Amino acid sequence: MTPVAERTSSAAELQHSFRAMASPVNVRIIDPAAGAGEAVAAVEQCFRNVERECTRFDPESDLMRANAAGEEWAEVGPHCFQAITSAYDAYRASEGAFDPRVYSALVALGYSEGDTFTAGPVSVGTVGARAAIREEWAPAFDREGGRVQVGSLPLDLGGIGKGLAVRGGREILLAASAGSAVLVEAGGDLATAGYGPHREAGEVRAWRVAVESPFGGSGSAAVLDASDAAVATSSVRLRSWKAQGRDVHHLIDPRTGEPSDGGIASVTVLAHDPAWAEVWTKVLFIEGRARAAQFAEEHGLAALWIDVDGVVHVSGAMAPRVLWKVPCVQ
Amino acid sequence: MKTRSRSTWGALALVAPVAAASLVGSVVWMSDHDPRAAASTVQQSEPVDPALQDIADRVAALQARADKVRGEAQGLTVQDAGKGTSGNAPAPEPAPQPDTWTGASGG
Repeated sequence: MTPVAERTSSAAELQHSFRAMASPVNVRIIDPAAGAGEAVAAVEQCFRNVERECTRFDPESDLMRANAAGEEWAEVGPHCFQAITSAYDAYRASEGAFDPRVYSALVALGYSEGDTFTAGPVSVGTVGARAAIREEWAPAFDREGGRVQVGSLPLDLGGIGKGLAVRGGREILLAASAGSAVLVEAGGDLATAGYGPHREAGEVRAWRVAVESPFGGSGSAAVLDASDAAVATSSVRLRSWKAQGRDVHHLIDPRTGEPSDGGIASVTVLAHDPAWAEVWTKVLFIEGRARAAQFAEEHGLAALWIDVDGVVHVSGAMAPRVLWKVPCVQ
Repeated sequence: MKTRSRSTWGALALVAPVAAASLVGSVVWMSDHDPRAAASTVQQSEPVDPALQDIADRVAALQARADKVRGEAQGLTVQDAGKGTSGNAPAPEPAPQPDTWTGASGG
């Protein structure tokens, strides 16, 4: 993919946009310091590195080499190593609800090209067999040698890769003291530091993030205060398609091997870390409407989810971050 | 809708510039995996019974829909509401202008 980058700057703000990981990426720096330009270039490079090592759409990527090696050792780059170890942490923390071993189910359903599935309606004529994942995931890691054994089932790191890239981007900007406030956003998953752009006199500064309706349209379901935090959303608005005439999407329930059908249309989670925010959106989505409220409260998750009837739900931990919301979206 | 109280906003207005200024020249890395930590940076929320909250969300949604239908029946246009409205409830609040969006192409 040819990167198309765009940068605009003023005395008060520097913005940089490019495309990576099948998503538009935006970097914003408020009150940019000297060296902010170099920092945003490093952020873009971070995204390129994560994408190169972790994509499942390139058979030569580190991830796909590790998948091919299966139960044998495979040497991988630092981003891929971190992504797999983080995915394993998430697998254990979620008691298996987050499981990256859904690669085969995604391929069986025809999800084989990243950009194609975000560009418009896709229909797949033939689908393969899917199965529930029953065996425990027990990968092995050789941290010193940068080697992994992913196990017999191949991995898809799409559920955590973007969050790791956003995490890396924010780290770079903070380490460079790039400005008084920063935002790194990739396709709706984002991390901020500080309190957002300057406002009119009397207005409180905050990074305001609108939660889009999963049913389309230009209206938002809510606006959150995402200052000094990370926000991720899992939705089936874009990455859904028809497989043998049936509507399917990319959020696979490992317990069934099928697209999750729990009555939720989108989940937004606010947390400190973007990768963990992304993980918990997947877990809540898979837990489904019946379990989401209980799960969010039990785990102290700051979550907002919209069910298939359009009702907007907010967990107790998210409530203080909600600046505005509608009760339901159409 | 739950929002911060005026006193919370006032406190934030004092704290925010100081916190923002402290970013310059410092490295802040928050590796805490516990999602409670991020939410608690604003305020501690009261314990919520998930079942009751779910019922409250649904009642609010039904109320909003009823208002919309009533408005349409009267030839009115009901805009997005910041809170569930009924009867002679005040006009809905407009959404604050966002800096960015989440959900557009969320994976």
